[in-house]
Amino acid sequence: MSYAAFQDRAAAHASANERAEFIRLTYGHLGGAILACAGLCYVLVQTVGESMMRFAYGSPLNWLLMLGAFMAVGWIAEKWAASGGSQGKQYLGLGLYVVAEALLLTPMLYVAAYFIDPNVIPTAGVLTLIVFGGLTASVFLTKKDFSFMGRALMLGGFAAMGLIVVSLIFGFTLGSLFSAAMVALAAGYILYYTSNVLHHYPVGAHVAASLALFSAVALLFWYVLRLVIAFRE
Amino acid sequence: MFHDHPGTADRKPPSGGDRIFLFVFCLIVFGLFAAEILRDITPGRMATLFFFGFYGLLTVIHEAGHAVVARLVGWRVERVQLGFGPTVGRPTIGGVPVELRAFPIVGLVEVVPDRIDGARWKNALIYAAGPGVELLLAAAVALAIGWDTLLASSDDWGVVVAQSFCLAAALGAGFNLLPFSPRPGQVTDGLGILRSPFVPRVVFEAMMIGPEVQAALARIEDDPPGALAALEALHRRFPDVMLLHAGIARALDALGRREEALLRLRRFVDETDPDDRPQAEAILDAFRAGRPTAS
Repeated sequence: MSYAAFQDRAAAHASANERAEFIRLTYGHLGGAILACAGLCYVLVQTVGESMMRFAYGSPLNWLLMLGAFMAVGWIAEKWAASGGSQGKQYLGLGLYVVAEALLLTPMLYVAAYFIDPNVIPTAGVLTLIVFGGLTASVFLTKKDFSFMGRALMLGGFAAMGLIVVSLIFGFTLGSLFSAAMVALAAGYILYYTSNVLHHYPVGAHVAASLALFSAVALLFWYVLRLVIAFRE
Repeated sequence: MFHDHPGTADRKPPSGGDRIFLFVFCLIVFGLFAAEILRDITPGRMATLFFFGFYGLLTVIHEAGHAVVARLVGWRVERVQLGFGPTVGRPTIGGVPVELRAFPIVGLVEVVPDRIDGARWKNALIYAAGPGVELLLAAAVALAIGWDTLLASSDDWGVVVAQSFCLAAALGAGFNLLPFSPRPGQVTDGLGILRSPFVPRVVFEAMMIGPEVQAALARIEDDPPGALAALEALHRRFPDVMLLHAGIARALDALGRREEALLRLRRFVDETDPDDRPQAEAILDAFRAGRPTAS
């Protein structure tokens, strides 16, 4: 199918049934990805959590390497998921992204569970779901198209990456103000991707759509957890 | 050289309410980023501001590197775009229209080859010039302050400024040299360099005289003699361009001179350099099959 033909079947232009099915599949896959990631994180924390934590926080260079690897794998996974080719490749992309995200989350989850308070993880999880649910409901109820946020989010993401890299190289800690900014940025991404699900993603692209939403939810969870840990400390 | 992020372009112009929402959103996100940086004035934290400042400056230098080397190898620079977002200025520098956008973190240089000979290595050189000039400047700074000083932790403001510059240059050049395609139809400088030796000759031809050939081809239906004359004139200026042979054959065909067209194409295939002959044969085959090769 050509791209133009694919685009013509964008969710907003499909029939009501097709659109409802697309949204159901997208959120079904998102739920599956979140559960898979949570399960994988649990296993990783229990088995290799300590060694991963020692590696990741052993030196800024190690953490930079992990972030770089995550970005590279994430980019490949997104390409596969959005390829529009075989379903197997799309699912491989989503699966790869879930594994990469779990590996990235494990060191901080280990610290939270064994050095702070195990309760901070479910607290952050519930807060993330509340924020995500609220933002999703607001988009679905208002049917607002947030695609105008694309450039602002790209600029915010660039600024965040720059801040993270400079902080690791120059050896200073990014605190709660940064975490709050990242929560706002992740909220922006959720609005953007949710409205894309409603208005722009082509029918059939539910794997790519769920991966985009999953990346935003994981980003939100990461910084909500950091904020919860900061308040607990 | 040709990097930009059109895929991130917003789909429709935001309304008044959207603009207010966007303003508040940016105020919160970037205000919190700024508050985080400024909550403690240390050279390390200020390195963030130096880094972003230098990144913007290096984007300009990077694109200038592509443009200057393109000129040096004799190619024409059609247009330079610096940054993305709203246009803030359209100066002409050295005869080249430059489009200045609000956020100078990406850029775009449009170049046109002067001739086919050496186009592949010239293309690679132009691609390499952007990250190359960034790395050269970083190396110059590193030599000036010493590698040990550059790599050591320091609270000296001058050293931190130099380190920030080198970090911005290394990251900018390093990212651009990674060989991948960020979006369909786009390549990083690294992939551009690697692909250059294998770019089909007709791609350079299309870059060189594509618009002029299209204009002549558009006349074939209504004015075949005029189209043929225009294509023959172009052929005299660019005797090696394959696309023109295909165009002339189409014009001759439109004038009912198909035999002559086939004979000319056959001769052209025989006279073509063996490396490029498969492309010439493809043009001949397409003409025989009735496919419009020159469009």
